[in-house]
Amino acid sequence: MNNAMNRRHFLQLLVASGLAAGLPLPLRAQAVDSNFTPYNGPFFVSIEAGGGWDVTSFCDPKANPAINHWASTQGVQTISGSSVTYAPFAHNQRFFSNLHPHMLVVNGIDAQTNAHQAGQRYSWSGRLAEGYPSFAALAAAVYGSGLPLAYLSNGGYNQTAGVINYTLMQDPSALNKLVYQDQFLDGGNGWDAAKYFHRQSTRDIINRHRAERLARLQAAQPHMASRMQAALNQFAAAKDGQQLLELLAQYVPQTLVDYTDADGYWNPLLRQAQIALAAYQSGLCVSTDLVAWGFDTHANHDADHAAALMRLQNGVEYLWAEAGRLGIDDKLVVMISSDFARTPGYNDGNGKDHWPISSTIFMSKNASWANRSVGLTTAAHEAQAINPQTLAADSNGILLQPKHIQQAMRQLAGIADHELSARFPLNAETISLFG
Amino acid sequence: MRVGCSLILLCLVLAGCSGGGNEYAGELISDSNPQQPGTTLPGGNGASACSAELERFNAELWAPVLAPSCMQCHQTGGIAAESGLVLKPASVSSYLADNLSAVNTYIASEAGLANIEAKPLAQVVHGGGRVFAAGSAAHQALQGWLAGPVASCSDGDGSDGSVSLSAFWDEAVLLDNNATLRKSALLFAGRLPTTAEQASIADGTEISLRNAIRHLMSGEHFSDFLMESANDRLLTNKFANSRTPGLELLYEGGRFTFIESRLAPLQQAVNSAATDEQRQAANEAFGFAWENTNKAVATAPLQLINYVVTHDRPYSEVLTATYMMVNPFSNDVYHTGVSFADNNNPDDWRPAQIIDGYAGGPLPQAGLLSSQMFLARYPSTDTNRNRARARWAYYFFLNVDIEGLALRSMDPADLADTNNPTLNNPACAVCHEIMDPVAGAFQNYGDNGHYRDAWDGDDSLPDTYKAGSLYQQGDLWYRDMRAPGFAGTALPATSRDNSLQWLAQQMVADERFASGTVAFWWPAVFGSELLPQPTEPSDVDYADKLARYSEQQRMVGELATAFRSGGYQLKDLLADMAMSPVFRALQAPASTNYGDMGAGQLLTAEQLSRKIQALSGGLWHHTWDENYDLLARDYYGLYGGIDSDTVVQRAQSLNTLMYAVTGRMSQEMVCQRVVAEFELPKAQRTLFTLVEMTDTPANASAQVQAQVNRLIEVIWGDPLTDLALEQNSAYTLFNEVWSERMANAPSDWLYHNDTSDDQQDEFCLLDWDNDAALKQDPNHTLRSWMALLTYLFSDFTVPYE
Repeated sequence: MNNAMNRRHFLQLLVASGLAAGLPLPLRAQAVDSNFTPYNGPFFVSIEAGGGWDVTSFCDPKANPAINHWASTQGVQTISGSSVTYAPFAHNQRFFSNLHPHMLVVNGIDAQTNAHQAGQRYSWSGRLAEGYPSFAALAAAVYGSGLPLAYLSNGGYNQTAGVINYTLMQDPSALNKLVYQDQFLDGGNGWDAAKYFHRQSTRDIINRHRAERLARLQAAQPHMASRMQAALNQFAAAKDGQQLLELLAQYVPQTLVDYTDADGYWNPLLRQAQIALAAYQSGLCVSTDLVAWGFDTHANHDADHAAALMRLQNGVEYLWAEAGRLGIDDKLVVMISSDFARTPGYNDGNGKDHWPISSTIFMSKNASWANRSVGLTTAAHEAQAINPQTLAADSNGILLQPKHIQQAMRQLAGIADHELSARFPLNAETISLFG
Repeated sequence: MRVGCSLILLCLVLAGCSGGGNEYAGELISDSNPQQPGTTLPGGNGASACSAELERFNAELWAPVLAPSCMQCHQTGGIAAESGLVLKPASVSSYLADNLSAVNTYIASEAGLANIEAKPLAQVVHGGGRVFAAGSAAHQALQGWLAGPVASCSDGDGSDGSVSLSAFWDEAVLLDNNATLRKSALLFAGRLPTTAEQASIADGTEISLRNAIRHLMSGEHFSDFLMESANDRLLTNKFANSRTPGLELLYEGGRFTFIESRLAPLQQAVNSAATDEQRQAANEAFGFAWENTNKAVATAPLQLINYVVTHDRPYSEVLTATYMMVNPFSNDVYHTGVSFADNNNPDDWRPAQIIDGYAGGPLPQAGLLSSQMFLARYPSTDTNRNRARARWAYYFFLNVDIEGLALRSMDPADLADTNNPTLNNPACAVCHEIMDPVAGAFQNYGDNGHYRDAWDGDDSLPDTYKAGSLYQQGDLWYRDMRAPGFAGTALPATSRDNSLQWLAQQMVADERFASGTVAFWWPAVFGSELLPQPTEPSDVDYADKLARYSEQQRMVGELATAFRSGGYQLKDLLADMAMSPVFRALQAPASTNYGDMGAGQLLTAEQLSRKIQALSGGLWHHTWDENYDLLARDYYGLYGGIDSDTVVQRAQSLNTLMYAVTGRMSQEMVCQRVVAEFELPKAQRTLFTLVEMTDTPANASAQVQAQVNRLIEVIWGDPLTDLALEQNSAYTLFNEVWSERMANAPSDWLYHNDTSDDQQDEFCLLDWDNDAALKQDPNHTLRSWMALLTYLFSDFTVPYE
């Protein structure tokens, strides 16, 4: 993983892409003057299906009418040339048909719990107990230290364990006023208003004194208690990053995608994806968590869960389509998962309750490890042990758990051996998920 | 080896570790324990042999084994309450000493030594099944502790578990009394302390400070503090908007028969409007009524907390209140019979009861527990059967995290058990023994929170259950679940119609209600969550986390004890919390990591908005609307605000976008503030009370320096660095700007639009139609003061407290 793009290389890329010419003069000047190194490595996207998803109606299909009502009329769907299978449910046919070349489905993951918070924590940090950062936080800390938006969160499992800050930016409509914070921007069209709140010479004096003041604070920092020290570090880092926000402003679209998706659902996942891609394009963002809700269907499962899955699928499809339109789909590394899964069978209210055996989907464009489904469950949707190397059923093998998935993700991202990862060991056997 | 010593030690430990003990530095303050302003707390609370034993017990057995794996069942009210090992929760101040003695007693009992290891491994019969695996970290910790040395407590120093932990705050430097009062005033009252309040602490005693803090708790901004903080926990404001309106939830089933009494005529007026003007007016009237009605319905639980606290009623009433809160708008929905002088005043809140406003008859109220919004925010399903409500009731009000009990990994076979596992499978019963009776106490409330919402109004059981063989006519609860109750006490038959009122009484009588209240308000006062129990001794920072956790739990216990003995007065609790080092610690010895405790908490968007108003005398508002609170609206989400639905946790640390918000604030608002100030006589100003606009560094340097000093005092408080140096630097900034302007300013107008050079532009919104309004700055002092305010308001000390 190479994050060491230098300034010259960055400007060359800007020129090559035609972006430099499109930058306003001050920004171009700043790009030349700055030592900023934009991030252009893989963009790590964690997508949470909040509440516990029903993988037997998704990527680990069980064609048993007692488990899934759809099985009384239809069977498991297959894809030619792929081991990926899916249930005839929600938008699965469209979703898997279009995206399976980029997809590694891992089934039979034992979350070891049926409590939401514990399941969410285990799925996204790799540890059932408290205290570990999400993968997105860890990746951002490794690759994006110093970037102002290294970790863009949308309210998923965003524990950072202090390795990085996250940023919430669901509504960037006021972004311009923050990027150009010294300018009056409420004049509207047609009024040639005074542009700045303070003239340049005044701003220069203020900024010099601010820098001197911060230096005095930092000199006093060793005497402060830990919380104040941490706060001052955050303040200084945030200050350092603000000039870079101009880059973000170049990429956040003037028109944001609607909150209502093609099925008519209120679906913030689309806008989360759009803003995340803009943040990545700006070179300021390494990772993000996107969140889809509505999967905890203890009642009226078929209708409600199908709706939740369709929202998720609309969002994931939008992410890939928009990334493709922007020419950065080859940068996406996506992980989709949930707290755990749902029971292989219906309760009295036609709902499905909590079930620990779940699945995860990894995605990367045409990856060599993609277009596969691995991990095994029984017809009753119980996890089966697998050989960690061959991934075949092996009674002496290993039951997959979220810690294995997170360990694999760390390895895929090239951060498994980083000292930050070493601070949060997963103690998980290596599984050859990616060949 | 521990075995032989156990019986002997039991007596020694009990004798030595259950006494009163030394006072720890952060104890609740009293007249006899005044702290000098800014002084360093004394050190020297060295660990005795006894406290060392407690430390080892805490680190090696309690934290990694007993607390996460055993505590839930082996406590009063737990599934193993009748076993030979009954532990006390960390909220009991003597829990470590008590639990050590309990373990020693157990070990000393017949087969105790063998069983303490064999039972959690399920090698012998154990009601909780296998709790951890042989060779696991927990098992190894247990073995290690059993094999470890045993210290004697025979030195008889009279100390208990608090002694060693009291050293946590050794050598801490606290905010002095003035700084503590300022921080408290900004947090609780949204303002700076008054002169009288400052004078009231002039004697330098802690008791004066506590009294002054206690008296800050009134007024609109205290209510804001209460309701914002409560919503950060309860998240019921999810329904205070038009996307997920709470009002809509009440229409279901048509049970609130007067729900349309205000809105229907207004809607009719819209429908019958003859002209566009009439229609527009009617629409506006309907919109106003709908918006206020929805907000009134949605915020009722928060208003209840506000009412109880601001009227100095026992805080237990947030659960036991047999009334709900209504204003004129929600009063029309619920038809309570309360009358209001102004039927359009949304700020007039009164306690009320629903007598004939519900189709099912009078609604029994049980404070927050029976609140429509609380019940809807934590809805149920046919199979959830109110368990979520039980889980959250335990969490919010007793500080018991039932989901946290499921932390340990579970055997897949247990999770796959289909033989009514919540009742029969010990692995499941760990949680459900506690949770399900309380779920049963919610028996009268349907999935969305309506009382007895079955079609016939007899119960809230789902038709699918009632169609089965278990149901019997007249049942209110499931026969395949534990009976309604609380902590081992069954719901009396006489309370079946008002089971939540009974539950509320049970909960507030439970000793955990006090510690639950401390936990509920901890983030509001201290700006961070209570630490979870550290469970992984292999973590590199385990010792640090354990020390902080243990100290926090001890403080929770102490605060809870005082809260309980003081009659559940929340204001007293908040004042006690503000007196503690968690609120005040400014400096720490290098050897101690306070983590997220101490001064330096990040303000929320709402708190920052109030602080800016308090410091500057005015709201940071939109250019064209002086009532438009930018931090509450345009920048709310970017500044880490929550929507109580999809984003439910506030940003805990400042990021670049948040920094940029404060940067814009410091530039956008200063012109209007300075102009507004200098348009007033000195005596009426907030900030510029020492200078006139004719005072310059050249002709009145002393006044200017004094004004600079005052601005630092007001806006920064403690600069955290050398004050004189900061005063000098700020004066230098003012002088530099002023001198440069005198030499080079393109004009003396406060608004300047330079058509040839944008960099000379200076925007300021001026009142051009008012001849008396300030528009020019002939001495260039106003613009210089604006520059200084930008510098001061963009400082580190502003977004943090």
